[in-house]
Amino acid sequence: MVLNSWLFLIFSNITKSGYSKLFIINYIYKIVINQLFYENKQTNKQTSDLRGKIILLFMSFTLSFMHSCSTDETLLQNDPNIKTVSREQAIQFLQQNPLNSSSNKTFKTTTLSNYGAISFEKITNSDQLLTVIPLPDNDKQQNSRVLLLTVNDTLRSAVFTMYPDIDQSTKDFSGRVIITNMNGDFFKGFRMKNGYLISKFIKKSSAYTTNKIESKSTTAYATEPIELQEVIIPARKTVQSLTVAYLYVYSYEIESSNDSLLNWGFGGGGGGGGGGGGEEEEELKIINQLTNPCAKNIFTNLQSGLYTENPLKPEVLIPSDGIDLNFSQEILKLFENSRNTDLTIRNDLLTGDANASTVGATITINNSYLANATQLSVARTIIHETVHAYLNAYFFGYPDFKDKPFQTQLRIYAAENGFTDMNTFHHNFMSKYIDAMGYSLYEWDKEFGTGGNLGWEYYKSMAFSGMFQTDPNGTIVAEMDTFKEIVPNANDRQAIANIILNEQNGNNKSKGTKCD
Amino acid sequence: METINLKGQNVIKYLLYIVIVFSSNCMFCQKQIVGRYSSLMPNQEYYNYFDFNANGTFEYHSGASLGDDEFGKGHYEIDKDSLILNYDLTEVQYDSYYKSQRYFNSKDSIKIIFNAYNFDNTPIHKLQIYSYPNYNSTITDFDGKAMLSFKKEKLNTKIEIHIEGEFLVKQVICIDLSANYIFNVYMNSSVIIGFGHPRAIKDEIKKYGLLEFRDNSLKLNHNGKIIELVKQSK
Repeated sequence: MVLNSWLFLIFSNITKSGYSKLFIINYIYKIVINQLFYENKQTNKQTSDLRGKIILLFMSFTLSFMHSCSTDETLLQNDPNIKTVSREQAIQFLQQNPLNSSSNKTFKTTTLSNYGAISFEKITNSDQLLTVIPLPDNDKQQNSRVLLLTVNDTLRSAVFTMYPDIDQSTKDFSGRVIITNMNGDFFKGFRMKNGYLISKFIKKSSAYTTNKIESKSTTAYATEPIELQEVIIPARKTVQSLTVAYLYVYSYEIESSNDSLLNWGFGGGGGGGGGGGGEEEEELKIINQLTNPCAKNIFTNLQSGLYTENPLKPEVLIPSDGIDLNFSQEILKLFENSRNTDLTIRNDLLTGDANASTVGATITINNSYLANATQLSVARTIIHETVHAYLNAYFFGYPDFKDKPFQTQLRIYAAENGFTDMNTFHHNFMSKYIDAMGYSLYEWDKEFGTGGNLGWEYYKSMAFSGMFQTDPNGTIVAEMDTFKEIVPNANDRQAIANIILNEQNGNNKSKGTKCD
Repeated sequence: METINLKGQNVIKYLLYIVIVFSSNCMFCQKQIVGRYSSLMPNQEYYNYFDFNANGTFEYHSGASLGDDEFGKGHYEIDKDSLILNYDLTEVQYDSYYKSQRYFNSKDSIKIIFNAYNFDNTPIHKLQIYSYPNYNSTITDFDGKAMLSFKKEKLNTKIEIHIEGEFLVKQVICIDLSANYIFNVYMNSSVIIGFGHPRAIKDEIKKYGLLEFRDNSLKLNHNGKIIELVKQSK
């Protein structure tokens, strides 16, 4: 009952920032609560509830802090049972409770004495503060903090440790998060990838034969005091698009930023919602505003590879590990992973009768084009336009799209070729992606279109759209230089153009099926 | 009787002459084109179109999915068998510009300091600045300030500094790697993403041979090249 009340408080405040956020935090809390519940079943019920409450509270604080927005306005509202652990109390606690930890198979007991590092984090809608003590030996490989709070007149503690992966491709955290008590006893652990919660850790046990889905590799980590087994979390699809990135913001050399390498991302006040200065989160990172049902379906299908089904629970979709994604899916995944840059797609009547337009990361498909084009052509156009959005994002360094080597490559390519307009620049650069776009189209067609039997050259030909212009009769009248380089024979180029035009016009020579 | 016949024949001749003269004139008697015409097949990646108005003006746009690459505006005229487009109404936008100061010292490196503003003198944050060919890059901070430094080179060693932003008009400044600079750059905004304003066509008169003028199409001859403009729905 007590736990249920907590759940209500936690979840009710989370819903303020959107349903998808709810799912992930809901999921994390459920894991914690379930474990607490079952672990404590054999103990005194009141003690169990209290312990669960405390650990849950630490979890909620920690996650909410890292969540970096004010989602927990009611979490602690008017709760008289929560009190700040004062600096003196914290010092006394640390002196009496040395921290046990293991590293590289060595066991270490540390009495924390860096009292000057004790800080207090504000808790939204509470006048109480969370006491935070970073461990003195934090480095690039590990970042730990002791969290203290008094609940029901009892001082409670938890140690929260983040182990980043060596390869941090985005500023969103990739690595492991382990929660222990001061004795180093494992409580909970998770694996994050680019801000996504992809698996949890459980204590390794020979008796572990429950109906779990194991990851590709079961790994024990030497840096942890116990052997852990990694289990993929059967999360909901919405986990993809939401806020794990916020939960574990892990700034990594953000351009023009003075953030430290190890950044909890919840500084700046506002416990359970600091950092970001009250910044509102946007839940949907890919916004599908297509009203044309056929185009909407095609776009949804193009996203399909981002998720895989849980074989034991087919109704549950889990984030794909990204290994098997094609180019188009990778682009969509980048936008979905981004918490600051949305990809929006819609349809409208465009001036000038082009098939589509892309402004920044907003794609508009022309209604007049949709009226005649085959589904194959529509899929091709969507792939093509997402590449425009992708190039825009990296060229101009949109938030979450900072890749200096790639940006440099784009800039030098533009400067060397003296491009004076973006259309020419993009379409020439896209020559590097012909195979990738063609393959993305093939994969879509194989699963959702004609069955993928049109032949590789047909899909590859479709990817050349945008590299030429034709007159009203379909004769090429202007071409990109790179098109001529890749396909030197003019007749071959015209044949490619004919394929693209047949599909865009949905005539009787097209091989794709028209939208109903 | 013969006189009457001759007069009758003359009347027929005159009538025929009048019919021929008027009918030949009628081939080009329509002095107005109204509507949107394009020389490209619709629904491809690229577009172009002329909007011809009843008042004798036209507007031209050409581009692709990222927006206009080129535009122009002016008066059109059909003169005998020619279509004349006079780009005399194109509104030209201001480019971005800069003011610079130079100074010299004996250090072995040079500093290039940037203060970036928009045309309202508001500092521009995250303006992208990079050099070419020896690549070095930075972005402006919240105050519109940024700095690049380079190894000092001998006089007349030039490089380009590219300054750009998403909807800003790009400017490229040439500097000498023997001097230090302070640049105040003023960036104009652009309606399209990319390097600058769409290319403006102005102060140009283009004359096309008018080969055919039908309800839904125009066939033009431009320096021996046949161009068909097909009417589109707006």
